[in-house]
Amino acid sequence: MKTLTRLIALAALLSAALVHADPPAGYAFVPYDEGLRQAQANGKKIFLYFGRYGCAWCDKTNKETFSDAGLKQLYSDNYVLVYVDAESGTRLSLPSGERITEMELGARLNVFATPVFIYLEPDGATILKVPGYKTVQDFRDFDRYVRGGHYKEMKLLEFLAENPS
Amino acid sequence: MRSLAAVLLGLALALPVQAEWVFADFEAVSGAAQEKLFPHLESAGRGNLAASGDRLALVWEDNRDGSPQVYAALRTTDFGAPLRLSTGREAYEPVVVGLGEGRFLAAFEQDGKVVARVFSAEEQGPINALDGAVSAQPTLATGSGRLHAAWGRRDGRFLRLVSAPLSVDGLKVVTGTARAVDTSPAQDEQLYASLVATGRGYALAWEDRRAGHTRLLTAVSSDGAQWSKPQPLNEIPRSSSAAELGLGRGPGVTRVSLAGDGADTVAAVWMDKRDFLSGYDIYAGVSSDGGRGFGANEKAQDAFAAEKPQWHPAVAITPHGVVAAWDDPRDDSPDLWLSTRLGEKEWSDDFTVAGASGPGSQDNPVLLWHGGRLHLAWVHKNESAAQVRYAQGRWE
Repeated sequence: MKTLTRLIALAALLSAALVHADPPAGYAFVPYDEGLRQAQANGKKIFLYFGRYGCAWCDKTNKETFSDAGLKQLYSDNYVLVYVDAESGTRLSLPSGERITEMELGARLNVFATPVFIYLEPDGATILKVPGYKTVQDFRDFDRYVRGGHYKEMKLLEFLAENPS
Repeated sequence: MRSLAAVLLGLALALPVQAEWVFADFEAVSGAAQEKLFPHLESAGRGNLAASGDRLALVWEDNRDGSPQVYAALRTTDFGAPLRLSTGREAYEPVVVGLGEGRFLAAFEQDGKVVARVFSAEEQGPINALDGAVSAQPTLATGSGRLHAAWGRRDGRFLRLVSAPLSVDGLKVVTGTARAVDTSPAQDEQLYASLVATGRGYALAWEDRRAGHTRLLTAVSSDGAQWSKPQPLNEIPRSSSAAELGLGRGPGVTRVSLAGDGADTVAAVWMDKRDFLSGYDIYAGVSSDGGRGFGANEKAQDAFAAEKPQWHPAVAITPHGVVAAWDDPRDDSPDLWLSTRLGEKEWSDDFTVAGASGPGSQDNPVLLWHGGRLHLAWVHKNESAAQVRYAQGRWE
């Protein structure tokens, strides 16, 4: 009986965790400052996911988009993956040495909604910021734009018009 | 012509004069702005300002000594040099209350635990641990000779809200028994509480994640030992496209701040993303029964920044209405904006303060009503340096 109770409790805990719109399962998301360190060490660009606890559109993106195995492979292989809880008081260190909270990072990057996805250079400079629910194909398009270096020459919409999926 | 002038003069004299907040020039609090100095006015409930006797104290955190530490500056007619209050490896999120006769009590997180310290311009007491467990985000309240604290105590994976009576014996802080505010089992985070003393005891508001999203809850207590059943503060829209799709649990709300008049009026402000397309807006609730009920939510900001997110709300209760302050980037970079509650569900146009708007960024306001003045402090930043600034306003 005790075992059954424990299993029910564990199932309840797991199901609660699934709806909280934390980072999608199976991705190696790290905190922002750790991500900057990793990116500077390996030269990869950063994929920064601003989510929020209970965020509906994060939930939808996790379930419908980040569940795609091919997308998971593409982003895990080519980016340092960073997740920030936009309402969290968890502290992180900026390259300047300043210590701020995750929420304050959102304020400074003007993250007005969640989810927001930001692509960053390894030094933390912003390449592209895209808010809201996105599909697997959207993320594949953003990847082509970012890793192909096209952001240096044209806007995203121009790139997509010239290079449709 | 003379008669026309006389008529116009008569009309001008007959019209009611519209009073408004008039602020004096700002003063630098944290010393000269320096490169690589990062001052922060962050705390649970934005309780960084307090008055005691003829003195004002402002507490903040910065890295002037090479690591994040907590400092205070005291003002009679000008701010004195910063006093370092913390003694550990790092310290964050200080709050302060007045103890009378120029003495103050600050509480903050130091090396992962909540501590408190008595200080004045002349002396400082020892660092007193309020909690031996991992703890953070303290908030303090004082009134009618009572002193009380609340903070988040690590309980398993989560911070759980506890509160305790405090007393001060000379320079020493004595902590009473800390009890959970909500006695139900810790199931998720309880964060960033804000505590005020009322004529009937205490009122408390906090962020609560136990419903699978962040809700703002309030509770009251006559003695600080037993708290009422938590009540929701923020209203949740009955329908939304996300809810209809069965997604998420609720809109974002965060960082609630309370202010009280020491009697029955308690005001709350917070960031609320019920209109999620434009980021957080500033919402408020006002209680006239010591925090038992806050009535309908009110939007404190006007429509001119509807498309911009608002951040870091603070609140004060004055004889001229509840005043809310926050920052937003409606003019491209963050500036402070304020609004006065003119009546039920009626707030003034947003207004800004000279010295707290314009070049650079001005953010993280804190507010206090004391001695017939509205005291306002914030963080000013330009491209290379930052400092804490202060200005006081009069209603005239």
